[in-house]
Amino acid sequence: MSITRLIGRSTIRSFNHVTTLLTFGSILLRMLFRRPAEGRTLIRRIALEQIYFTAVQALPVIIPIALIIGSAIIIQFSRLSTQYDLGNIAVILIVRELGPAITAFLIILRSATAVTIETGYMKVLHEIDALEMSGINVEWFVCIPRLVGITTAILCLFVVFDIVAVIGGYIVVWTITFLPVGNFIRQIAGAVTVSGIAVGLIKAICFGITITVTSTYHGLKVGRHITEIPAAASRAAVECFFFCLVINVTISALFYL
Amino acid sequence: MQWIELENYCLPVSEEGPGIEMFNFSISEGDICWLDADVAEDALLFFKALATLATPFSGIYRFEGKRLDFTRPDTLLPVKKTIGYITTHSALISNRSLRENLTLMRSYTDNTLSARIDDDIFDLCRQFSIADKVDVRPEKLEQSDRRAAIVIREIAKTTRLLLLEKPEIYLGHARFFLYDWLLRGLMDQGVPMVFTSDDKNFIDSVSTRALVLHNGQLQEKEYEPGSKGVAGVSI
Repeated sequence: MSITRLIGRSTIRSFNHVTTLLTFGSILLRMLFRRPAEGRTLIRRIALEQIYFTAVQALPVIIPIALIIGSAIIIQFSRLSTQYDLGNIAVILIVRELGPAITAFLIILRSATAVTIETGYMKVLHEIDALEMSGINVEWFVCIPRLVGITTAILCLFVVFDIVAVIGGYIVVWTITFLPVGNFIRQIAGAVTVSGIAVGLIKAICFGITITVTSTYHGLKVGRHITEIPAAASRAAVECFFFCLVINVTISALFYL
Repeated sequence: MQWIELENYCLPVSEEGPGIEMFNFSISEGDICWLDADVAEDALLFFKALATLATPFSGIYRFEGKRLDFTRPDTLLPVKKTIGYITTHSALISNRSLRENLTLMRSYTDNTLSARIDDDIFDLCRQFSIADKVDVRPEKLEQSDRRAAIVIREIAKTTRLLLLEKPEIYLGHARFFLYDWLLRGLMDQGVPMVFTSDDKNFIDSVSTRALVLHNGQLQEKEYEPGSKGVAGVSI
């Protein structure tokens, strides 16, 4: 097979895959806005459980990471930037770029793989069939609570990450070093804008939707064999990470270029 | 009127069997069909087709005279929940307790979190000796207890059709008498059934029709009670 044909085929395959994911995503979003009457109480409970698993249980992981990253950035830039731009640099790096990206990365590692494995097992063990045979809509019952739960969790964790990285990082640096960070809080207050916060929130929502759609799609696509699950989880994690990076860059370019 | 009609139905090839070539099938109230299949996987494929779990390549599925649209899976859900599906591919939801599994359908349709099991269902749990295990998750139960819960869940539906895979061994011999008694109760109410079985006595006592699924071809044959078999086919 010639290289041109190989490239052509893989491009068509990737394009088909992305359009399938977009279609699946649009089905879920349409269902979310249509809100079928059946099962709402159950779905609310599953969404709350998902927020607990994804947000609350991730706090012990995300807080130390945010502190380490915030401290490292403040230390490096307080040496380089003669303190004048430190607040601005911290906002640009942490709030606009690293906050959403690292939060998404952690969610992918912890929850996207878990969701793919869970739904994959449900498929292999015929639990999806059992739900259907009970008259339960699988997209509504399995995917929507995870979509709501993971997106809300990313939104909350993104806020936690930013606050801990910026304020916590400042406190760590101020406590354990003699670096000049005196006007840091005032600079931060001056650098934070409404559009900056809005961009962060938009990114978090887009990441939440992308991660849930990709991970549930790969889980539900698992066939009959248990050996398909690890491959699906790995594929879902890599795709989630790649799509989130693309979305991050695209939104940054749209708002700041 | 036929309750279910499959016309020129063609299913995808299963992994372990030849699949089922184009066939016609219909079933109505009171029909009890024994299915004799050479490959168990093909029998399951036929059950899945009847349960609308397998999407056909071609053909028409009519439920109570109304044609089903497989391109809109949500429209199949009202049909699915009237079909009792008791096979080795039936499952309980593993991250829910037995109680939640038994009340899931009601919780979903009635929008409630109440997991109170109805008295008649709880009586069945007691008869199948799983009443003291209803707050346990399925993975902590024996397979026979899980299957008993599946039987109770499927029978508790407003069943219009029952699909059964080898009822004589599904719950083990000890519980077969109770299972048999429940099935006969449903038969008396006119609930149609399609089942596979190797139990001659059971087949002879309940079957009204016989289907043969050999080499991917589904045919209806004349049933001969007492022979545990079908005219023209050696078993």
